Amino acid sequence: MKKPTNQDILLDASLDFIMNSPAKDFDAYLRESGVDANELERKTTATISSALRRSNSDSKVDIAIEDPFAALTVLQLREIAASLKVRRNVLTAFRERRVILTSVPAQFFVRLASAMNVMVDPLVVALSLPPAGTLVREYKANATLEKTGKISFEQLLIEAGIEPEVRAELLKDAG
Amino acid sequence: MLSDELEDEVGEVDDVIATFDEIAIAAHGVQADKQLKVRLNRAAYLFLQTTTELKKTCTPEDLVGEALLALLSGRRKWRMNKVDFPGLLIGAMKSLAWSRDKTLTTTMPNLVMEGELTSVDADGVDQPLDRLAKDTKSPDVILERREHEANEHGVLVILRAKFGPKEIPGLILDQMLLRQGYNHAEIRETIGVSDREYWNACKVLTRAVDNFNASAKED
Repeated sequence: MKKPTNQDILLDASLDFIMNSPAKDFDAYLRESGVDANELERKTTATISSALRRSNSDSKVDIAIEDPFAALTVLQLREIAASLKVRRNVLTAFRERRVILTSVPAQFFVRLASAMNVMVDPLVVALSLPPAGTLVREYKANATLEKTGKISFEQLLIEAGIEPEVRAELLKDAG
Repeated sequence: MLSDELEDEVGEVDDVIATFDEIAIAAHGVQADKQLKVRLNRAAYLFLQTTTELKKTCTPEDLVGEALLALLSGRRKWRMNKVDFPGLLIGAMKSLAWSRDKTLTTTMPNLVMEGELTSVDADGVDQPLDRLAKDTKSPDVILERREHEANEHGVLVILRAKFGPKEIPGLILDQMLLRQGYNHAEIRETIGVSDREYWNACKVLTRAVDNFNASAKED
């Protein structure tokens, strides 16, 4: 293996800081460097959107922009919830885009998409849109979930009263 | 050629290769994570700072987008059992940046404007045409010289001199010099400081590296 140069070593150290430092330290670094985090975020968002479009995934986005749950009947929603071993209020949280998607195991998305008979990618695109505060619940959920912004998948399952064994199974693939 | 830019590592039998859906989900996950996007942009900036030609034409966000495209198009596989998605993106950005820079530095013609060829220098200083003939500024020569200078002067030693004997960023640099490498866990344990102190020192160090690169660019 090639011996690392001084520049390689410094790059490793800088990357460790950039990617792994606590948010407080990273934000302070950006401030001290005179970097506008919002501007970086805006530019990166645009470039990621462009990459997703170029990879053809946006051909499915048009479908995804629509509410993927809209076409489902209450009976279908019940069946989907049952097949996923969750309650309907869990699906409601996804529909209202209140779930932090990075906390959801990929396998759950695959099962959810399969149960809804849609493709995974557009479904995730739809769920990654800003929280749908204006969406009205069109059916009564099994239980009431607190509406306090985005929550992790695990927290959602806890609040929805999903049994610990089922919860563990659903979270099994979480990274 | 793009396919040559991302040399995939040799796989193993039990590798778990991500499907397109899994990559797309991860990409949307990145899109939904504001801080991760900023971190990736800054990591791209770091990679570009290590290039000679590419940084003149490529922005950090361009590099993030190109790396993501490479993953979505399947040009680079995601071995999910080996690396998480941000780590994969980092690897892809590094490969792309260095590969493209190498291409640019070895193929970019050393252009001389017509006006430069006709200028007259009364002091007897070499004219652009003469300098071109000597080829002292060909990309290969520049690259070689820069690498040589970097190793000769020892960037780590130069940076070390900026800190006092007991300052934590200096102690971290001491460990890098001693180990000729960087290992967060080992270095932190050796110098025996709190997590908070360590990250703060890393922040100072990263700023020092940024400043060093900026001043090297001005020179």
